[in-house]
Amino acid sequence: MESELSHCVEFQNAGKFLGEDWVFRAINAQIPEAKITAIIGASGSGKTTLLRLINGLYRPDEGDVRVLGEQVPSKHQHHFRRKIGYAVQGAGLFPHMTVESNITKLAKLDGWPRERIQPRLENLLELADLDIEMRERYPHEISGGQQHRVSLCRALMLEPKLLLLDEPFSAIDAITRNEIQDSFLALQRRLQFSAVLVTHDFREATKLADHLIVLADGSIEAQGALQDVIDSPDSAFLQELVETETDT
Amino acid sequence: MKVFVLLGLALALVTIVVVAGCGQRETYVIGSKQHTESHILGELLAQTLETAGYTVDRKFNLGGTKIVFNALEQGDIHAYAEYSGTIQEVILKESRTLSLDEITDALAKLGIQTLEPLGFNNSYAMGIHEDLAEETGLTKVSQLRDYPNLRFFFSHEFLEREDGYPSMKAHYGLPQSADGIEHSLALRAIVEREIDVTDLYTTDAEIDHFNLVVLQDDLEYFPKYLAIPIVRSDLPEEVKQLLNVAANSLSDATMAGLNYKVHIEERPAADVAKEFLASLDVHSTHETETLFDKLVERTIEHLYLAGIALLAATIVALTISITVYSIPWLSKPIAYVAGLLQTIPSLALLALMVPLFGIGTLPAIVALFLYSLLPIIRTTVTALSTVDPVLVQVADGLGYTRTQTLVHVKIPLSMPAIFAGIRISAILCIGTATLAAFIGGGGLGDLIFQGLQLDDTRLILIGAASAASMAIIVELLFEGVEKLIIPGHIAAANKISNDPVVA
Repeated sequence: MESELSHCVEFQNAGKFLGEDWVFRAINAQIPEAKITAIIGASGSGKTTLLRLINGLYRPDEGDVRVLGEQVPSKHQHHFRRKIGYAVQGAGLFPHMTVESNITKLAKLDGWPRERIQPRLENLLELADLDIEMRERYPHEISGGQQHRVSLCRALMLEPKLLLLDEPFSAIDAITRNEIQDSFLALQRRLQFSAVLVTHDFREATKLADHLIVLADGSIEAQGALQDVIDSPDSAFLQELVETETDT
Repeated sequence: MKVFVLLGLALALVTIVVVAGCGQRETYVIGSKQHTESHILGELLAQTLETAGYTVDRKFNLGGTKIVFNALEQGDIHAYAEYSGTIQEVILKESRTLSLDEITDALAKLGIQTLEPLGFNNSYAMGIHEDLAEETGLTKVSQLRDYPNLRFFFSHEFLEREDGYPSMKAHYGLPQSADGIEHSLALRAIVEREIDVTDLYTTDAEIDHFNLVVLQDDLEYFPKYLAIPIVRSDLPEEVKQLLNVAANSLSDATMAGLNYKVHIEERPAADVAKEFLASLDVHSTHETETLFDKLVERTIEHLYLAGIALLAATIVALTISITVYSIPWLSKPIAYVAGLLQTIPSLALLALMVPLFGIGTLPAIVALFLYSLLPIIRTTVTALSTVDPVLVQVADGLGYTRTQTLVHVKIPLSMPAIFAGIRISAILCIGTATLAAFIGGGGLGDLIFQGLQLDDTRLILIGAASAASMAIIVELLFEGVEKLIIPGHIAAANKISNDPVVA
């Protein structure tokens, strides 16, 4: 059933060498379109590295990465990256810009007309459960949870087909995290973008993801539809993850 | 990026051309050294030309023989009064005593013409306080050998010149070593008995006033120092004739009298010169500037010097910093060179500019410019290269180009540090610009130098206090502009992005 879906990202024998060692080698994986895919693994397993191969922040040292039907370019990457949304742990909002500027700056630089920017901004703020008045504020004037919602809006501003999220919800309190996760799910169901989410939190993965890639010791332990992977935990690491989760 | 570089270079170039343009002469320029007598003689020459209808630019208080003579050779000034002994020793570097004709011939080869001597001989002499003379019975220089513990302090020029202390020490076989001191300070120190022996000029007004005793040059060491106006040979004959106005009309006593009026009676050199010219039937209409006029004029000059230098330094330093901040192998040597420039004492840096740019505002501005580079380069490079890496990575990941990240993220976030750098440079510029007077650059330093020369503490204080107030006002202005340009929350926002809970 999985193979019938079309893919937005494809790793073909991809490997990355950092510092003095390979982070991983011979990675073969496919990320389905219009779904949420979680890359899960322990700290240092190479999750973030894998994510950065997708938007070209890292180049593969072997193999190939194809994204949205093209090979990740090595030059003029900003054109390519603007098709891909990006949000990181801690929101990473620009402190000197208002909420509105944080979200719309790149659209302006990209030459979007005002008539296109304003409705898009208002729409996103509404979908992210943010008050429209908030756009005048600076990041330090809003709560941590709101900052994360703004960060999601910023990532979605240019109508990307693909959204990359690097542990975006890990630095917030549990209640707020829950709310934002719900908002994120609603956003994805509504806008139907593909999303790749890096997380070390198995509970978050099971809550959000349709598709799972499990990374451990420099290789993929398991990948596939969420339920398939959980139902047949075929490695010790995965077994442990599933058990820890059902315990709590 | 290239646009920034080109823009910066173009602006710097325009600045330099504009400034250089200000040095173009339509008028005659009269120079003088930093002592009262040279100042009075400069006024004599200047007012004579003015009375005949010429416009005169005064470059007074130039720092030392080499600077004034170089300026004359290069055409930055057209005439000044020099002493035969100084010409022989410092300019021609001749240890043999030369006749006036020999001096005239030697200078002619350099394109300089000697006019008629003014009549007096202002030779170097050794001076001590009369109390000391009484206690020791000292009357002759050779007797100094018997008092090895006496404290010798000499003007810097006398310490260093060919016919100065080192060879006099050898000539007389003196055991004492000597330190440098500014001439006016030396006279005060000798009265207060903080030092014992200093160099004097035989026409010094202070000899009587401060109860000093001139020791007899019993081994005939000091050469003659006949005052002679020297001019560029290419001046029109008519102008040369005019500058001969005071030929053979100033005796030692007359000159000492003029010096006394300026130095002790604290009258403006211009007024004293005007009175003397009247006795030669030259009726100058020169109006002496009031202290207030002087202060206003010098303040404007000071602001001009510091302002142009700071503007150019800011443009160039920001251009350099933005170009190289991300290239450590380039930014480190550049910061190093800029740092090296700053270790050069400011006075020395100013003096170094003279052979390259002559005297006046241009060399002063270039020196101040070089001096102001480091603080701006250092703070800007540091700030740009230490912007929160998460923010840079986010901008990258979102699809900002390198230039967009620089313009919209790195520079705005570095503004507080960049501003701090410019502010430090501004204060440095204002402080250092007080030394510009040393090379004819004008500014508030002129008042300080004049005050030192005339032993006029009030003038020194006015000059120093004005420069200090200017620094404070500029500091406050910067604070205001900073508040306008940089949103107040940036500091707070920076704290948030550094907060471990959120970041």
